Amino acid sequence: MQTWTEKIILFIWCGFSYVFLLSPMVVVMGASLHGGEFSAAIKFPPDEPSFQWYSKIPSEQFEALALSLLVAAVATFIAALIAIPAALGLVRSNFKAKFAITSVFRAPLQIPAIVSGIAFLQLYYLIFDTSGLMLAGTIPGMLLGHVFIATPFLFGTIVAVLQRFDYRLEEASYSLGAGRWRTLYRVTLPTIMPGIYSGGLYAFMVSFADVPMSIFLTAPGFVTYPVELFYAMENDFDPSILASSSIVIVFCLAMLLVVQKVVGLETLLRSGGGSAR
Amino acid sequence: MSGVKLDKIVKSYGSTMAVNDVSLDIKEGEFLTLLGPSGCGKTTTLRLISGFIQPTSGAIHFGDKDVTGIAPQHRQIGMVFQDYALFPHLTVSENISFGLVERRYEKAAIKERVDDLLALIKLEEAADRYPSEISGGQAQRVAVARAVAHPPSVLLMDEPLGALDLKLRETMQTELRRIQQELGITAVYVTHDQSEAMNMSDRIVVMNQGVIEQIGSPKGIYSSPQSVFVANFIGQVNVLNCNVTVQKDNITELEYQGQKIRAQHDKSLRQGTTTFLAIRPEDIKITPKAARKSQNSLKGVVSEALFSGNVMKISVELESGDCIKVECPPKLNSFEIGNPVYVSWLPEDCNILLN
Repeated sequence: MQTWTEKIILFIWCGFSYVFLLSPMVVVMGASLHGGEFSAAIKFPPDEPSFQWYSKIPSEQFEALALSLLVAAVATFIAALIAIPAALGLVRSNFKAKFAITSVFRAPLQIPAIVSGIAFLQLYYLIFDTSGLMLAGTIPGMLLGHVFIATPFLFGTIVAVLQRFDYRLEEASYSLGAGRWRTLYRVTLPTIMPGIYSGGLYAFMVSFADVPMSIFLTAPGFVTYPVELFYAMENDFDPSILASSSIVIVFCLAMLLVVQKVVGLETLLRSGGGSAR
Repeated sequence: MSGVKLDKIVKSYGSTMAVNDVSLDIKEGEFLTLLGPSGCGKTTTLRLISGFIQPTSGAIHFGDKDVTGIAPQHRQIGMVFQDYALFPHLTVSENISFGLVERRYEKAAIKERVDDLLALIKLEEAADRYPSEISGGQAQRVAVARAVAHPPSVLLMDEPLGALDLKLRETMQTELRRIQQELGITAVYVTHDQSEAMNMSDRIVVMNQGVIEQIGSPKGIYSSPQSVFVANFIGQVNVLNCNVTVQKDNITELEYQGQKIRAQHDKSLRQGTTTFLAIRPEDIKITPKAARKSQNSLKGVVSEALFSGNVMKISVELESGDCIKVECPPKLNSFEIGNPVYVSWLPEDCNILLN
């Protein structure tokens, strides 16, 4: 049993953590309601709350947001197509190059994104020089980079789930007359699905929020949302940036609620697997 | 449904022989148990029958069909695992219907079969629960129902009750046996628990170090074990190291530490052979005076007396230094540690073991 002192300490500590984590968002959302004249300084709490800056968000930011969502979604999907078979194959096999290949799949985590960005840009110039095809500033070029940084997150969580996977579930499936593909479809994938969801969520967020790599792969009129915000902050700050950020925050919370309803966040966090007990 | 025949099965991993020249003829509808300590090859044998592993040499037949080399999904087996291996993302009835869906049953037929099986395992009310929401005993019954939903040629069970507590295990033994009898299915059961094997089986196969030590009915194996290993593994036993002196008809006279012992059996033994004599603790009487001539009688001193409810467990140290374990009803006992006593038993109650 917890004593009262322990409860109070826990309460204070948790409260402090929540304030620490949530206050930046509260400040941004609050300041976005700034109602007065233009000011370059953030005002919190806002003087005369109004939604005026929401109507002044430049259209480029919405275009950038759409691009970012598209890139993040497609990159996560492609990363899943790479990570699921890779994890299934590597966890279950036992050959000499296994560890080497596993570290290749994890490598993007160890490379600073800015280095990856430069590398991709160099690669694209090289391809341009030899074939005349320019990938920088195009959707395929952007996707390639994002798949690169997103894959390890999916790969890692799926490997973790598979290592706890009870192989007797597959044997049970075989014994019931299901072949390899049927077993993959009816038993293996559903059991590791929580791992795929949580890895996918990470991968999506990493891709969606990336600045250091994406900044090298943009072109005029082809900018992802965080990079667009970065430019806006640098060049001409006004509270409409806060307004647009607030919209994204609300959008993300809504997304989380949907995920919570559909798969349940507990399953995401548990990333279960294995049998009944 | 059919019988199962193993013909000179060998399974080796490098130089270790997991299963060494095992031949078995399992009859249709029989409940056969593979019994032995861990590492004796019983689970390997079961996995060979299921097809999850392939024999190094030898053949496996289901009825008239040679299934050697055929993948498990094409063997028509039912498998029950120790930790149930229920699909965690499917409900109880979805688990049971898994194999029926794979075998392309009609929707209505699936529903009917699942309802029948739920009734058989007495779990109608749990149909829509997930495996994480039912108890261990219930999960085990679901695992059995799932395995027999599409009637298998043979039902294979790998220590299915190992994870349950003692009371539940005993109930489930009766339950499993009932289900097997009701469906008339050929069953192969793996366990290291000799009492479980005794309770459930038509025949028991005792295995040790990859080979079959003895095959027989539970009663046959208990009352006439053929080797020291079997005698020791099935229940408690006293083993005395003796020399054969005379053999006439079915009575053999042996010499144990200068004393004459008579044993009744039908093996033929050469004079002078060293053999082991096995006597069950419950067949031995303990008396203050030497018994009648017709019985075997040895002198000793009570060295231990344990009261364990329904029986009194007494150890008697013989003059030779060997210890004899005796079990008798507590009422008969008034012996205390240090008392000089005689232990005696009938010639027909001892077994001569060949090795």
